[in-house]
Amino acid sequence: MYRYDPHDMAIVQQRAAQFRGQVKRRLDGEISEDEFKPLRLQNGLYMQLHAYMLRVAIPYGLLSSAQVRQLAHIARTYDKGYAHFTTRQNVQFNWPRLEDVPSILDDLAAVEMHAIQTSGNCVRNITSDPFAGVAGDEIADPRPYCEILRQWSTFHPEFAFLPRKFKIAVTGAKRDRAAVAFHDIGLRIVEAAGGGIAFQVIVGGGLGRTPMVGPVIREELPERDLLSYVEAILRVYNRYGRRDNKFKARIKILVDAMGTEAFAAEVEAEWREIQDGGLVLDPGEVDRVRRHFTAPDYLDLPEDPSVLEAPTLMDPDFRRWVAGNVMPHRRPGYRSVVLSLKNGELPPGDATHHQLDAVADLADEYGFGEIVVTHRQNLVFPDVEVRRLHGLWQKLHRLGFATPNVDKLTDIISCPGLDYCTLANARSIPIAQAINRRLDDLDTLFDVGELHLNISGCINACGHHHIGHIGILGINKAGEEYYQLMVGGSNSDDASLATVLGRAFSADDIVGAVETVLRTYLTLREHEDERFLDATRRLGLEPFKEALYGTHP
Amino acid sequence: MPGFVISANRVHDGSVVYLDPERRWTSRLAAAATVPAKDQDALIAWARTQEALVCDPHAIKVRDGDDGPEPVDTKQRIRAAGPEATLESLGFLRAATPTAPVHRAEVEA
Repeated sequence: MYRYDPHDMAIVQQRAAQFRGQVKRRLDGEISEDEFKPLRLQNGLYMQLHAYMLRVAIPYGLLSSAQVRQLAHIARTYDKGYAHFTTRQNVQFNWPRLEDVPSILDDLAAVEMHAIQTSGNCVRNITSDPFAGVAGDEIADPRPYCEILRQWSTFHPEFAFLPRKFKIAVTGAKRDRAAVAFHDIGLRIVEAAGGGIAFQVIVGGGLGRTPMVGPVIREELPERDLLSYVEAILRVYNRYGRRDNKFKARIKILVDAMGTEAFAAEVEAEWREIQDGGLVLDPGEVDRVRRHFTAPDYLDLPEDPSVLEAPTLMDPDFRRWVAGNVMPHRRPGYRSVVLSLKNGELPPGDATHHQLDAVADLADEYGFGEIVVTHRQNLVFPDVEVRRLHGLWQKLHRLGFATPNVDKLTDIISCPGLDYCTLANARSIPIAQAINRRLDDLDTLFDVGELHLNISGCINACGHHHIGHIGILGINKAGEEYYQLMVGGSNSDDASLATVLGRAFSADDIVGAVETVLRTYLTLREHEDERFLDATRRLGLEPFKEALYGTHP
Repeated sequence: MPGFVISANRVHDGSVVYLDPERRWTSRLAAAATVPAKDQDALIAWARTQEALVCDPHAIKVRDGDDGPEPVDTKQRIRAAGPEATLESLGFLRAATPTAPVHRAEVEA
């Protein structure tokens, strides 16, 4: 993984020292909240419903075991003993005291982490495929390009005050696991017609108040032009983006208003001015960064899945886990393992300090000390030997991270919702837990199959409800929590937005409504292999509306 | 008595506080002063002079409850009661003892 050079280290240490002074002045009453607020937000420190919240950046979701141990230390020393992994592959602490935050930033800096640009109208954490570097369908490893973009965007003076926040995702695989169509800029590495690689450039996707599937504005961008082209996009956005209306300030609104062709023409014109300037990506520089992501010291192992067929390994729980949570790997004899943080008891994405310490130890024992955060709020061990899967499973099982539900009904994405968030209209976590308790049996009985159920507590859509196969959106009706139910969203190659089925349900009724939708699917699916998403696309909304509302939608 | 309570977040830890009848900040909603709508603006203006202690003062609508004022709005009820689903409430956390951080030298080793 990328290791800080002295320049990187100096930046984060200086930033932490600077914030220590700012916090002292605030606590001493020397600066007002109005003066302090932009300073704390530039360091990822929000004020939430009950306390401050510190959001820590995890570039493209990649962590070392030492970093995870430090997160555990921060959780138990400065917080209430747990951390929350987010849909943007970041981690949040929900209860830090203001006076402790500078020390937290010092501890983060010691392990090459920070909270810079995790808030504000700037380029946020660059996200990627959680299986980057090990996926069998990968054209090229996206992480060196994520890192190059991270370095380019960190403290970029021209883009520190954009019209609104700006999110970039990069994938290098044939199958999109980074939701690139729903980012301000989505970059897909493709095989260039003339050989080598190029980037397909998608601009203006997003969720929130106005969800949009981003259009492609360039099919093949040469590697050398990556930074200059992205800079041109941001310049066009900075020039024309709506600063007069927060709700219309994201680039998706600009692209939609201008039209894709007109927007692309503006970008191309701007790009021609800077194409051959200082941002040309030198192959030597790409190689320098790429060397941080070279393959670890894999053993020469045969690809022999029969090692999992031994009579001693016939435990049905282990079989289900292998089928659900163990993913293919490009290297013979290895697999990637998804640690489910959705065991039905913990809030989705939460991990205690004990669990974080254990995860760090297991990453060292069973892998190469690397852990990846997924946008579905789970963790990944990228490199596990097939022959050691059973031993790892036993330990993950004891840890509560071996629930075999990855990409299944109970692998629920949930934002913190009104339990924590000032923006939320309704709670998300208790709904996720209630669905898990009530419908886990249904999944076991009928094998519902692949199903993404995503819950957001408000229209800002941190829980990605628009792109769940089933989406739930919390709303406020006369001061009470209600929930809209929608179906048909997808975040992958068949990107689509979910459609609301009808009137919202109360907190007491939403779980039953989800069950009704699932039972309708189970009744009407053509065969057991027809996925929920495919069935909804074939059937349309009417059977689900009929089941939920009868003749009164 | 239906009315309003002035609330804010403490600067040092962000915790929720309410203004009591003696114009002191308390974490107990039951001890908060319920005031009529006409007094809101003056009290919020006064609360803003307290910004070394609290931030974002605002008025919340309350009604009479069994234990003093009770927020009318769900958001304020949750804000007063705390998160429903915390790991503490679920029994997952033992008391956390502070530890020494991972030091830079260990990472570089």
